[in-house]
Amino acid sequence: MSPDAILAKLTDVFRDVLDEDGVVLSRGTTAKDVAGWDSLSHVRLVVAVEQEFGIRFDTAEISGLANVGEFVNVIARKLG
Amino acid sequence: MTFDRSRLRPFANLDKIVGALLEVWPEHADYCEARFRDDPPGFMTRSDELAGLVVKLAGGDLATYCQDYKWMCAEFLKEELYFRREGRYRLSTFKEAYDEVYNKADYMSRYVRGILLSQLIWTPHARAFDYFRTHFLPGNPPGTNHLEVGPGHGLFLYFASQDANIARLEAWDVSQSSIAASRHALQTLGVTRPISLIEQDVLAAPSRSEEFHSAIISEVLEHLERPDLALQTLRQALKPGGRLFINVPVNSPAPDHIYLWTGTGEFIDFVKGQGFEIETSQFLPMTGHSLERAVKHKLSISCIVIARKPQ
Repeated sequence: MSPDAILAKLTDVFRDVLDEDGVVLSRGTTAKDVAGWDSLSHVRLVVAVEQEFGIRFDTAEISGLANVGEFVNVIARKLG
Repeated sequence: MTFDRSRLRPFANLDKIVGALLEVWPEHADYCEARFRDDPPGFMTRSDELAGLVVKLAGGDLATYCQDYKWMCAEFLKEELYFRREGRYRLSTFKEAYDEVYNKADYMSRYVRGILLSQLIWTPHARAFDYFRTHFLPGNPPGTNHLEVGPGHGLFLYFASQDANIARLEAWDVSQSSIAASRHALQTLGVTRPISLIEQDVLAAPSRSEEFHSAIISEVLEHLERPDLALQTLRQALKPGGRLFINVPVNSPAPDHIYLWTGTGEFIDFVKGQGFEIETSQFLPMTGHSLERAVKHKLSISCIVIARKPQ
């Protein structure tokens, strides 16, 4: 899956989990840029991403997902 | 989002606690903004009274309480990850909770300090106290004999002790060390009226019958393997028409939560199933979320139920 396709799918997950249809993500987007992306919703985002992409993050990866670009990179790596 | 602390300035105790918390954990500012954004003045005033009690209990060690609250929130996130992945709480037996939490002195000390601060900082906790004070206690008749199961930090017991309609106070806990902690807390809060603090397992066969006009069991049932037995014991202990204040969170993973209800309706049905009528109920979503959103995404919701034993 291309990085752009991952980003598009990731955007859908964020919109669904955060209940915000207006969420627009770029690789540089951080939690500070998105209303509702806090530490608790981060966990829900992580698990929703796992389910959407059929992957599993380990603990170190979860804490390292500081921006959307990291999400895309780790997802791409796991999808091989 | 920035947190405008100026609205807390008139409330010295709230301001002191939130100020100390943000010193330790500046990143919690957005959460605090959401917590205090919509509080009406009356609730703020009562929250400030609650904050005054928390300040007294924390003594000169508020910073430690704030650090332990931050640590506890991180522990909750681990449980949240398990819950979201697996759809259930990580632990399911009392023995597991005992081995992992209750029997670990250092862990328990930090957990209890963190929980105390959460009584003020987490919206459902603060609103549960408010509902108890504004809706439950005023509904009791003069001469009320009142029981609390699992008094813990002693704050509900404190408010009951200040109520003129309550003539006699009793509290049960399964643990001697918890009873000692509650007794110490009540002394610290300056409660001088007599309170019977008794070692009693609410899951044991009902030992008391039709003695109490009112009772409270707050954030206890989710820690039990058989919460049905606890409510049956309380039903037996209440007089006909006696009232019970219940506070239980659904979809709320925590290091020692073992019994999961997955919705508010399921919990109400559970209470009715133990032979209670529902007087009123309130469903309080976690800080920063509407009830609608909390239901949709299965987020933590505190169920505050005032139940009544049928006449």
